[in-house]
Order: sequence, then C-alpha cells, then structure tokens
Amino acid sequence: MKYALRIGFREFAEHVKTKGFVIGIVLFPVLLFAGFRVPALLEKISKTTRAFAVIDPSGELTAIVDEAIERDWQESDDKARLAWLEKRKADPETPDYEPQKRFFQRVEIPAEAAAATPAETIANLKPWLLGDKKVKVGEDEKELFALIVMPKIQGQLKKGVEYWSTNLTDDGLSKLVSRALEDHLRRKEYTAKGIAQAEVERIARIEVRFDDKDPRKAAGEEDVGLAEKARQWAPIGFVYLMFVAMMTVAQMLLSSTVEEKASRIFEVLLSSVTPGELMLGKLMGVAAVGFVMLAAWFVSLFAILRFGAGSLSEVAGPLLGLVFTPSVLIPMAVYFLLGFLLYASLLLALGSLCNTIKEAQNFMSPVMLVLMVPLLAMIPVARDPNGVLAQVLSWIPPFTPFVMMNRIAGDPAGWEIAGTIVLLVASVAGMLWLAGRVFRNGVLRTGAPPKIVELLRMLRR
Amino acid sequence: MTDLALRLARVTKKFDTFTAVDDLSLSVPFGCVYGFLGPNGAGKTTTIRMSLSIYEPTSGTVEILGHRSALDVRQQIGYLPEEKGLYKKMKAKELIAFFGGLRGMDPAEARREAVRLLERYGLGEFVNTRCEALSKGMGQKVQVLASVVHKPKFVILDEPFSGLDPVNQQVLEQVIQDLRAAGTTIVFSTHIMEHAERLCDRIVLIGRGKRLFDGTIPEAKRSIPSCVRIHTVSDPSPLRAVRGVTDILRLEGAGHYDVVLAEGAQPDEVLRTCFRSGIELSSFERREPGLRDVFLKLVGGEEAAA
Repeated sequence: MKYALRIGFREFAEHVKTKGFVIGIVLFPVLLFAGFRVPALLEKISKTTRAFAVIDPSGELTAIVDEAIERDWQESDDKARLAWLEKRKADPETPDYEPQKRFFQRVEIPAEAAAATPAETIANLKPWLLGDKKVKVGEDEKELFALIVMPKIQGQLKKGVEYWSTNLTDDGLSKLVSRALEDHLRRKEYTAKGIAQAEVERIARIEVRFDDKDPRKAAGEEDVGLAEKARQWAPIGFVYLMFVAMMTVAQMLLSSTVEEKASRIFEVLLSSVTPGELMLGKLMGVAAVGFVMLAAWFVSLFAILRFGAGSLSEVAGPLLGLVFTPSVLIPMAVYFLLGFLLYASLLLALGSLCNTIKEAQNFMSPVMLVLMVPLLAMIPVARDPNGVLAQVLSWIPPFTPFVMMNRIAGDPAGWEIAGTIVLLVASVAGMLWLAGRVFRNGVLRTGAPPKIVELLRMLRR
Repeated sequence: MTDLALRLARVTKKFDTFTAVDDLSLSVPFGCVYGFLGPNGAGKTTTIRMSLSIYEPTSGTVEILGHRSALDVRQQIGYLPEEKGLYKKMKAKELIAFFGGLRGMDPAEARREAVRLLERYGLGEFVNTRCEALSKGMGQKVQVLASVVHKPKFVILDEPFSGLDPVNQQVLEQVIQDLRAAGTTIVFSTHIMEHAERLCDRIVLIGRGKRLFDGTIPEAKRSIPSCVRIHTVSDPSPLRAVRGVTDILRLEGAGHYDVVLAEGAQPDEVLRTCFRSGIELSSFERREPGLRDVFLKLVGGEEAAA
C-alpha cells in the first residue's frame, strides 16, 4: 500500500502542476460568474435605441404604434424606477435615477425617399435599410433598423403588414407592433358589436392561477416554490460537471499511461511494485485530482450562488439550501467515486495497450459514445426522475452514476439507491479485475494494440 | 540461504508459440560482476525480466537473493531497463528520489542521496532540471543513478552503455566500479565486448534463448584457438604443413590471413616456416582471441546451425 500511495502521490503531483488543471479550476468559476452576470450587462451596454419607419397609407395605425412603443417604454421605466427607489431607500448614497433608454424610436421617412406609392417608397428606402444611408434620431445618426408597411385599412386588415429589416431574428419590435395592432383591431370590432370597452378589458384579464402542491410535504406546507422546482433541474448541472470532470481525468489517465508505456517507465516501475499496486496507485492519484477539481468547482459554485448570482439570487439562495444537503451530496459523492473507478479502470486498461495517444484515441471514441447516452438522457430524466426511462437507465452500470445523480433530487426510492450502488460496486470490482489482467499483460507489450481475439486471450492469461 | 545472488534453474519462457528463453540455467555468485552477452533477440531481456519477477517463467524456477519473487526483496535490488524512459516533467532530483521511494527509501533521505549522487557523477548543476531538458546521455545517467540510489545489494543493468558517448561510457564504468568496490553484485547485459572484457568477472553467452557459454573470461578465451595474423604478397599455403596449424583464413584486404593454431601450438614454428618457404612477410602478429572472437564463433555457429 505504501508503494501504491507513492505512485499515486507522484501521479497527483504531476497533474495538479499542469497548466491545464490550474486553468480548468480557475476558468470554471469565471465562466459561471460570467454566465450569471454578462448577459444582463451586455444587454445594458449593447441595446441601443433602434430607429424604424412606418408607411401607413390610411394614416390610422401610426398612432397605435407610437402609443404601444411609448407604453412599453413607460412600463420598463416604471419598473426600473421602482427598483431604484428601493435601492435609494436602503442606501441614500445611490446616484440619481437615470431614465431607461428607449428601445425603439419611430422616425419620419426621409424626405428624399418619400414617394407617391408605398411600393416606390420601399424601393427608395433600400439604401437606408441596407445601412448605406443613416437617419437622424435627435442629435444622432442611426441606421434604419426596420420599415413597417401597413396595408390600406377598410374596417379590417385584409392584407398583412410587411416588416422589412436586415435583422429578422430580433423580433422585439415586430411582436410589439403586431400585438398593438391586434388589440386595436379587436377593440374596434368589440365596439362595433356594441360590447363595452371596460367589459372587454375585464374579460381579457381573467386568468387561472395554478398553485403547485407536493403531497410528500408536511400538512400546511405543501406549497412548492420556484427554488424547489429548480432543485429538480439542478442535478443536470452536477451531471454535467461530473461528465466534464470525468472526461478531464480520463484524458489525464490515458495520456499518463500511454506516456509511461511509450517511454518504458513501466518496466522500472514493475520491478519495484506489482501491477496491482501500480494500477491502484494510478487510480488513487488521478481520483484525487478529480476530487480536488470537483471540490474546487463546488466551492466556487456555492460561493457564486450565495454571493454573486446577481438577478438570479432570488432563486439561487433557496436552491442552495435544498441542494447542498447530505441527502443529495452523499449519494452524489458515492456515485461519482464509483463511476470514476468504473471508467478510470477501463481507460487505464485501454491505455496500457496503446503506444501512442493516437492509438488511444481510437479506443476512446466508443467510450465517448457510451458516455453520450446519459448526457442525452439528462433532460428527459430530470423531467420525470422516476419514470420508466430513468429507472431502466439506472440499472445499466455504465449509465448508473450519471442517471442516478440526475434523479437524486427527484427522491428515488431507497431500494433503488441501495440496489444500484450494490450493482455498481459489483461492476466496478469486475471491471477492476478485468482491467488488472489487461493492464498486467498490456503494459510491457510492444507493437500495435491487440485485436479482440488477442484481448480475450489476454484476459484468460 | 544460498550463496548465490541469482539462480535460474531450467527456466523456459514462451510467448504463445515463440520460445524466448529455452531451458536456461545459470548462477550468479554474490559480489561478482556478471555479463549477459548475446546478439539482439537472444533472450537477454526476457531472462532479466524473469529474474525480476516482471515475467513469470513458463517453467523452471528463479531465485533472487534467496527469494522466489524479486518484489519480496525490492529494497535490495536495482534495475536499469534496456529502453530508457524518464518522467519528462519531473526534476532530476525528484525522479531519482521517487524511484528510491519505490525501493523503500524514506523520501527525505532519498532526496538527499539523489543530490549526493548527481553531484558525485558530474550532474550537480542539473539537480533541479526537468528531465525533458536533459540531453539523452544525461538522462540516461540520471536513470542509472535512479536505479542505484537505494544502495542495492544486487543491480541489474540492461544494456547500460547503449547510446552513451565515450566520456559518459567512462562515467558509467566508474559507477559500476564504485558499486563493485562496495561489494554490490552486478549483472549487466551488453553486446559491446570491450565493456564485458574490462568489467566482468564472469559471463554467460546466450543465443536463441539457450546458454552457449558460462564461465570466466579466461575460460571463454581458451575455448577458441589463438592465431597468428600475417600480411604477405606470397601464397601462404605452405603453412598448412606446420604442426599445430589447423586452418588458414583469408581476411578482408589483399594478403591478410589468420593462421589458426591448435591449443598449445607455438607461433615461432609458423615464423620459421615462413622464412624457410620464402613467404615474404610485411607483418606478423600473434593474436590472443578476444571476447569478440568467442562471441562471433559461438553465436555464428549457433546462427549457422539454425
């Protein structure tokens, strides 16, 4: 054991000192933090006021559009002002309120483009729509983001609206305008049919509230909050982390085994330690690397959810309390360890057969394909953690660690946890035994990796 | 307890249908420097691996320092494999200490000893250099030191001289001489006969997995006849009549011959006959057989018989 530990310690020290490992540990929290904060920040910075023009032959609809744009801006400004007021109350130092930027701004059609018919105007406006010419918005020159061409209106809108823009993926404006037009036309129709405006609005406001209740919870506390719903989805993140950690560690294991084999270090090692000690040492060393990495990630995940979630902190706080509990973390650690041993011993055996990383990568692709299954099943399993798919996959050893982790927040039955752990332990033992045999025969082998038949013969030796 | 450091008794190793070592027996007494000689593919490395319990023999028994498994006495054994490999990212000192640790040394002591050895053999300035930055020769020296850092009783070196320049070969010879002076039993394999001749007390010659010769170097030399090498423009065939001359071999280059003598035959009779028969000599040299000749004769005969 002393010798296995020494092998393991060297393995650990070598990987921990690599740049890749350090970068991996630092990069994860940075990306996570950025994931929480950057989108909001980017939106704030990049969302500039977008200018658009309207061609409206009947002259009736432009006002509707203007009103809708103004109302939309007013709503978001009110919300922001409210948030600012609360902030100001808590901290009198908060700087004065700055009104929200307008998202959209209607501009008049440039005089030089105006023509007698809409078709001609559209044709004339092409240079603006393509960004070759700019329109004036207040003091600034801006690109014309969109052109909305209204049909002639006789009672109803028979023809549709034309929406011209080089950016059709950002549908904020078109949706806003379309909703405004629909409301307007409906209201008109209601009025024509003699239905009172107030009545229409009252009816439109009817909605049914759904309160989610969980029968497993204590009487009087059955309400299910947003955080609790998120809890069911949270394991997806962990499964993904485990997948990434496993892949990183597997690569390390494979490359270090291939290096030792290619440089014939194995021969000296095997004159000092048994193949079993060597394998055990390597597994321990690399497992320690994986655990350090996961631990670092979990700590940073915890810290970011706790202190730096920004706009998501409402959900993040309660979520922490629900996920970072022994009933989730302990099975998770067990499944991770067993899953790691299962795959690591397999990769160690494969690595011992290869002389180059290239050869090793050929073996990796089928392993990767197997690993993709639990990854693809992640969403369906989280949606129905105790459904047939989840239950079946749980009992297939290569998938067990991932799928069970995936389900853990869905509180699977105790016998399922116990049973799958027993099955997994047995599979790990079997895999270690097989890997030991391949490893023993493989490490000193020279030449190309063996064919299946040779591999089977090796297992018998 | 036996007085043999290594004993192989009728050892055979087969890989599938290929027999790498065939019914080999040999004994390495304590305190001697023992050479494993033989052409490439003779089974030297396989024999060494079996001695170290890296391979199990197919049949026969191996006993090293009185034990059936080398792992039982790993603290007392040092091993340098034929193919030299180092952990590229480790520093020279750490690497030597790591291998010392695997041989049971205390880590701190192993580091101290590593530094001492590096300084002793001219690598003092590379103590903290990563192995990837060492030249091939330096790396090989580091590996030799890694195999003896724990002061083993028994050292096995597989082709230790291959790939070393003459200066480093000398350093390595010094390492071996130092080990010998400390009473260490040494087995090393080589196909460079000069090293074996200079360093070995005993040799075993292996060909195609079989033992061809086992004994001291004088014994080995006595096993083949001595000869006289002459250079002449004349026809040397009259020398065949001389008593004790068994053969005349034509060498490369015009006029060069080896006159092979039977055991105990004197070369002066050959010289006299040259004068009598009017054979014009431009050189006449008595040649004692070297290990190289033994090697060529025994291995060549084996190859021809195959």
